Amino acid sequence: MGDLLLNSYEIVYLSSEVITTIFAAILFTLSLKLLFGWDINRSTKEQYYLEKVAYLASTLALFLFWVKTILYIYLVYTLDELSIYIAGAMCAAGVVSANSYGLWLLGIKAISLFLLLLWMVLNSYDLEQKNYPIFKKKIVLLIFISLFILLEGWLNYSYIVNIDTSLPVSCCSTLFGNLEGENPLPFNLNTISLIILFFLLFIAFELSLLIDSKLTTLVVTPLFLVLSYYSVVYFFGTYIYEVPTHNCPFCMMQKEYNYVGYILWGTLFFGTSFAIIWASVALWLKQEYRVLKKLALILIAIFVALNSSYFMLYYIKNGVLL
Amino acid sequence: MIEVKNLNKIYSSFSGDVKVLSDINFKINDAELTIIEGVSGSGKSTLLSIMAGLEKPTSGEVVIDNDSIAKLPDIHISRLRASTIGMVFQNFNLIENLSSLDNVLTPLIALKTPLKEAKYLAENALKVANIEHQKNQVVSKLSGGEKQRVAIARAIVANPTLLLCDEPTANLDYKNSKIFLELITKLSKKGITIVIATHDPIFKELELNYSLIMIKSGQILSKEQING
Repeated sequence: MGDLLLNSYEIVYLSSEVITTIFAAILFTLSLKLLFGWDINRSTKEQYYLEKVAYLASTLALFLFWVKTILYIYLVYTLDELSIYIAGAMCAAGVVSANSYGLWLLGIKAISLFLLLLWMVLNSYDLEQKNYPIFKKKIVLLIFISLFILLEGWLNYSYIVNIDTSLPVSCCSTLFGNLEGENPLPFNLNTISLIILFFLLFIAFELSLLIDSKLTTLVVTPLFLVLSYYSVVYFFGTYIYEVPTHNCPFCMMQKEYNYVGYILWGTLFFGTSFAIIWASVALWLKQEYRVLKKLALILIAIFVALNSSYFMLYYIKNGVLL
Repeated sequence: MIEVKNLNKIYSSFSGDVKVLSDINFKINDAELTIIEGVSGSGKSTLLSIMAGLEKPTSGEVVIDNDSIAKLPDIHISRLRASTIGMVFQNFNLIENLSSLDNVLTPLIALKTPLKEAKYLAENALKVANIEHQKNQVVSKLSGGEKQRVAIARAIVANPTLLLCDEPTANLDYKNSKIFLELITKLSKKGITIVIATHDPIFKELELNYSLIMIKSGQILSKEQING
């Protein structure tokens, strides 16, 4: 236990995460002060002090967003580097599955980032109005975010400490492959119907944004996100690896594959996040942030184009499909 | 209308708190000229900075056209300052290596005024301030009086409804101070609300009606109406 605590990658990662956890704790206490003390109708010393506190809290949230984004990328890179120390692991997939905290950590991190993005948009809306109309609501969200980041801090520590290098783990072929003949795809889909659905949802996603249909965007985006994951792992990924049986969401983030996984998962995450935030904010606050819509359109188009390019280039080069 | 309500300002430092403004209350009507008079260190500049939204009070508020400016989010204070408030500083605060015209153009950049229109407005403001003949001259080569007139042109270029002047004649000789008074008279007659913080007795020569607020050690001593 704790075999990897003194690994240089882990030292850098954990010490950076300790800083973000401390900042999250500060953010939590500042948010509580704001929640219970804020009253825009007062002109007292306390209210002006709380205005400074609100400014500090939004600066901290912005700082946490950028640091967390960089640390997420660094964590995935670190997990891949750690695979050489763990028996059976061929990439980050094996290291993530070394204990039950790994997947939770990646999931909570993604949720924190999404919530921080949402908060920044809500904060921007609130500051554009004269009387801070959603101040308390955005502070409640900030409390949730700081709790998520604190939970992340505990998960970080628990995950790293509980990696036992003496125990062999499963490699990505075992984790994501269909070695026992079971269909790993959702809704019992086969690969062809998965890809047809993927492209249909992509068209629906882009159209819903182009015609400003917010409700359609809110329905289509989560479906597109889920099917994109399976499409990349079980179809497009095989063309990235050029091996029909290699199904892994992590190996494509290695140098051998030009780190393309970072671009694929990054464009998918931010593209779908921007779309959901655009539609939710437009429906709730009647305020359209067209820049979010444009970014969502562009990022998801890049995601689909990049995936398709591997598939098409393979076909052009070899004249056959996998 | 400008309303200053229960305004207090305390500067805190390790050596202790310094109370600069204490329970300030007054009203200024639209198009009114107000002179805030007091010795150096009486709190005039701090009061003007708070009225301009450059500083926040410790407590109390300044209400300009129904907006309590200290409570507005930064973006709104900046917009208000850019579109409604013009400010003239004691040390002019001009960009020395730019020409007079370019200095006057700067507030219009923030307002995203098209360049052609901005140039027209800037030249007009320089004309009002009687300094149009020096429009292409670099500011560092201008005299103190000329710099002050460029500063006034910059303050009025965005057509503000409120002009705040902080010790505007402190660096001017008598002749240039008189020119400044003439300018202020002209602007006041145009309907601009003007607030001047000063300790210069030359303002007694103003041939205009104005409100005089005497301030000492951060407190208002007296308020009176002067008929010029």
